[in-house]
Amino acid sequence: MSAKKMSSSGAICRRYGYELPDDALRLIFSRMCFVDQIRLSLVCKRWKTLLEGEDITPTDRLPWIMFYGWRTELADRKELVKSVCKLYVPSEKKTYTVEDGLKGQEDRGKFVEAEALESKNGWVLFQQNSLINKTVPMFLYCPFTGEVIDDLPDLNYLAEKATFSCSDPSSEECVFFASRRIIGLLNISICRRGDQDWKTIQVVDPIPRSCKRDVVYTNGTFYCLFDKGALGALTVATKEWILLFPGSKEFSCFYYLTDDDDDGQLFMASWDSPYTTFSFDFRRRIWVEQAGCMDRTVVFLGAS
Amino acid sequence: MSITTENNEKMITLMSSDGEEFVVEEAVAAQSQTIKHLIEDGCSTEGSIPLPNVTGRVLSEVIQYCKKHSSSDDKEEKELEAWDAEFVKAADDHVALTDLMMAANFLDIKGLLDLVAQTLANMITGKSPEEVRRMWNIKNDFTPEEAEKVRKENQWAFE
Repeated sequence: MSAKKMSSSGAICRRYGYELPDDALRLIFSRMCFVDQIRLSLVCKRWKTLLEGEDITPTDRLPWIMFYGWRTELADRKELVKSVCKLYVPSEKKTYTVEDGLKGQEDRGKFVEAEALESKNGWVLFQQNSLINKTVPMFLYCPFTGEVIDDLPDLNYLAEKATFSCSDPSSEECVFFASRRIIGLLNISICRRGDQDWKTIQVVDPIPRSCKRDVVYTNGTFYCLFDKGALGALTVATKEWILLFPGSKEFSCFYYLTDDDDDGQLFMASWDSPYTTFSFDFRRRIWVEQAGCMDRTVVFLGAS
Repeated sequence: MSITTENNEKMITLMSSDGEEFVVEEAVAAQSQTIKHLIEDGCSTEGSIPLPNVTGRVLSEVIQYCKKHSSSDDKEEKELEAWDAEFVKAADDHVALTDLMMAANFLDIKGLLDLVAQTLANMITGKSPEEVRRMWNIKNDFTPEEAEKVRKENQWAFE
């Protein structure tokens, strides 16, 4: 690019007054917390469009706590749903009311008796906790916008554990995961939005009667942690299940599984004292204790 | 035009929109990706590099930042952070900061962009849409009905 060319294209950047270019505004917006981002979408249409862009993530990724309750009630001889959903922000010690009142069956009927299985980036994955026609409907709810996604296929068992791959479950790319133990075996199912069915495979349960299980998704794979540190991996592309670590008596307590966003490392942290952390050595297929405090890494237990 | 100093540092000349010339070491100027690419394309030998979007006042601030950041190494991280904080404080108000942001964006200087973006973000945090519009002279292009709709979408956040 020659200096002359640059001066002509550069002139376009400065439109009028203090109007910052889109990229610069995005940089500013991604340094703001969620509530402020929503408030400022009222500044003008351009800001609203930019703020709603997928590349803008808020700074506050602390867990928000969602209280919810849905039950049917008779009002005016009609069956309505008493709908309550509140959000609590621990850092602000503030509660926001999302829903509180009576709603029609068509709006919130599917929420009655539904059970939350997973929450991630503002979305909550629910399953209907009643076996209607022996199938279990699953749906996603975003308490911030009230949006519901319900084009997931029904599962043919009640999931014990479920999660999804993407930060944005509304994307077509997002892969959903569900599993349940069935006498020595383990049902593992995956699907995408709009699929006809869940693809289910049955594998040997590495630790039968294991009660605590954690699943994380990283690098195209769902990793499942069982008791005794047993670790299994389901590769989404090939639907292949590998037992990476069969479990060992030395890992006797309950652990959380978590991943490192940057380099796909897996960590296992004990959930009560002594708080030890292990990282998984994929080459040797063993858990390696992290000496002392991990440098600059903070593992938030159970945060979503 | 390229001059060499005693330390054998290559110097280049930057020219602001109002014709002010700044002679700086190439290593300092090359913190701007835009300038770095121009140098790589051999544009600096043709004479001074014109920066039509940046006034002399803003350019001198930008150069001050680049000088500081090219002379410090990682060991001085704490000191550099303190210097950065003073630097944005000296910029004083959102108008000066916006000018800096525009320049950093055009010149593509990542560190400076991050620094100013954070300062501006802190500045508008907690402000009402109306206050922010006044700050930047932004026209409210929502009709009352549209604004009401936006508010309704996330009613809980506006309470």
